Amino acid sequence: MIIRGKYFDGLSAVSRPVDLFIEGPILRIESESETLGRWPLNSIFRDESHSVSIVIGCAAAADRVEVLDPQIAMALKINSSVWAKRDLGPATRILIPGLIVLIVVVALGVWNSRILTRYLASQVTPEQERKVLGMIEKSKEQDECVLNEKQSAALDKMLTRLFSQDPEKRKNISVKILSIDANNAFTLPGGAIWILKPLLRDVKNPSELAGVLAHEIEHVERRHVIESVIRAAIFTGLLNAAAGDVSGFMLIDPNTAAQILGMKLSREMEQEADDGALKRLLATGISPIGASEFFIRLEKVNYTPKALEFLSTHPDSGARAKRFWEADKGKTDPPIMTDEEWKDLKSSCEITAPGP
Amino acid sequence: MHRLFYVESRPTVNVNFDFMTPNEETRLTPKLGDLMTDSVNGSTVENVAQDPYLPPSRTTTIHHFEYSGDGVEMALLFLKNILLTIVTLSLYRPWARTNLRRYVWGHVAFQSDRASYTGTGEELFKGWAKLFGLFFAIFVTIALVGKILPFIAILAPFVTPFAYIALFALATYSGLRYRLSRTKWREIKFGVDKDKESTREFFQLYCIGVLLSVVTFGIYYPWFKNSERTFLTNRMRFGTVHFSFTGQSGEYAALFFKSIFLCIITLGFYAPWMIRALTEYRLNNTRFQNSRFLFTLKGGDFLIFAICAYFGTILTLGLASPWIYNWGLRLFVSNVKLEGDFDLTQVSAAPSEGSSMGEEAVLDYDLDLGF
Repeated sequence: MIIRGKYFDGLSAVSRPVDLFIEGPILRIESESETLGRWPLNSIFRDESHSVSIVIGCAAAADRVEVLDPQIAMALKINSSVWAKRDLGPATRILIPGLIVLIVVVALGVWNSRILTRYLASQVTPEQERKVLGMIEKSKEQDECVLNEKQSAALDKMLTRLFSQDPEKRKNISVKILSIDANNAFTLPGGAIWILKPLLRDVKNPSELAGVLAHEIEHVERRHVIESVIRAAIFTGLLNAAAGDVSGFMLIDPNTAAQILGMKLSREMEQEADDGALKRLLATGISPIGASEFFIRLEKVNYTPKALEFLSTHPDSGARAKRFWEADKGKTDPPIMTDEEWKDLKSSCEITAPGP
Repeated sequence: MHRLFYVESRPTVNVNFDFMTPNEETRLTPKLGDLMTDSVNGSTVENVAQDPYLPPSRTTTIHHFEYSGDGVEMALLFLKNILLTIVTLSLYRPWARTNLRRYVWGHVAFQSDRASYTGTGEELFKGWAKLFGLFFAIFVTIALVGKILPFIAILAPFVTPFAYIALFALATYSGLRYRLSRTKWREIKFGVDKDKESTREFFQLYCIGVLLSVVTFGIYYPWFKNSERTFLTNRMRFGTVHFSFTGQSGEYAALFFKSIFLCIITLGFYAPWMIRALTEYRLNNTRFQNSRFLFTLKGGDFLIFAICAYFGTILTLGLASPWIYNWGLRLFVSNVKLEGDFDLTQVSAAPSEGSSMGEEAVLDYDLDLGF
């Protein structure tokens, strides 16, 4: 069998057309009746620096032959039986198993990220959290509503009721009402809960406000805020490091990808907070119907189609409302506060704290 | 094959003979052609004949470069590189870069023979590790010195820019040297000469160039770039034969400022023509033996490419990037030509070394092969 090829002697920049003959265990390279080389088949290797054409070499010699017919090149591969494998460098030999371990660790880490983030959150002391809170509170000092004595007592009454099962934990929570134009409530590091003025205006009865507070209290008790901060730092850092200079070719940038990944965990945390809130309401004799009605109103404002739920930080409001509704065991007994106290609390936040 | 008197729209005559490879053609210039426009590069044939660096000849051979990369193959390569880079938290990046270079180099052919890239991911990784170690050592030293001798820390803002300039100089020279030392054609390596004296000279040229460019608000920049190119090209070689650069700083600066002016008055639309003109100047003045490079891409073609690349990338959310990248490579490579005669029997293999450390430092600056 004659195989056509091109011969490069490795010394000059001239290529010579050659014929290749397989003679037993030898590949003979011939050009115009001149034998240019006799290569033992078992010493032939493919030069991998040529990614497109099939270029072969023999042992440590600098000369190379480009095999022009790929089919025959494959036959040559079979005939030679041994294509000497290129020796991997020491760094590659260490790196490959290292990379496999890294991939497994990262995959397990992402899969079980709650274990990691919970552990890391537990390492942050309440004092450290309160320091962070101090900085945040300072920036919003001017928006804080000043409650009169009766209003403070009414709010405290509600919190005492919510902590009636474990009064010791009441001291870990501080609730403030802020005059910020958004219908929402937040949990902050250090056990702080902020109820924003529009939400206070929106809730229809004490049970609704108690539902909101119960939910936020669960976030505090489970240290979800600090866990979220750690989670965001890990996901963003990992994805930025991973994407490196290929981020330009990604459909979404690493920060957005980190946020979307984080949303799934966020929904898990919200679910946990709902579970805890429901238990707390039932245990303290507060009807979950109030929370359910609040969720129904919330859904009308913030409707998220099922297909886009993965982009939401919260579970579907309709499903939450249904769950609280179905868990109802009768009306709130005894009432959380009197109608007068409730009206007074609702009317709070007419005066805000003096600015710094 | 015997293609006789293939006549283009202008009466310049191209002839292909059997003994030539398909991507070679000889341009016979008839007498009346002395007054006519060359169909390839827009310069007049008269100019070509009068080029003081080329021997007077009535025939000029044009050698073509070819790029045969495929968009689908490129997309698969991109996909593999991106996935492995992500799952390895970026550690695969040096191997990804090597894979891409092997693919691109392997699809560039000259005289029907393909180039090859012999660099490895491991080399780049080691280069990165060394560079990382160097940076770490520098930062630790700065931090320690700042603690022990706080008054020295005041100097840091003044010293840091010089450190960056030195790093860029190293990156430019060593990075080019590494890439060329890993580039082969017909099993002969390219290379860049480098010794202590030339390194010192380049550092000097680079530092002065950057400083003067800054203090003259960019006016000195074209002079700096032309000097840099002259320095580097004159040290580039294929085997034992050196390239040379004949560009004049004054000419380059005139072209540069004219292009900048036209870019300003056309609100940037002249940019493709500017890039084309500057590339053409650099290539036309790069020589190998008795031949010189030509760049035949037209500004309009470049503009169409730039518009399609921009919108194509955005509208497909980046999915078309491999095809666009491949198209750009084809457009560039197929418009680079070598005009004139060269004698490859004069080229012998020569050792060619290069550290990947400088290469790693330039990865983010996307420096080219020096042509």
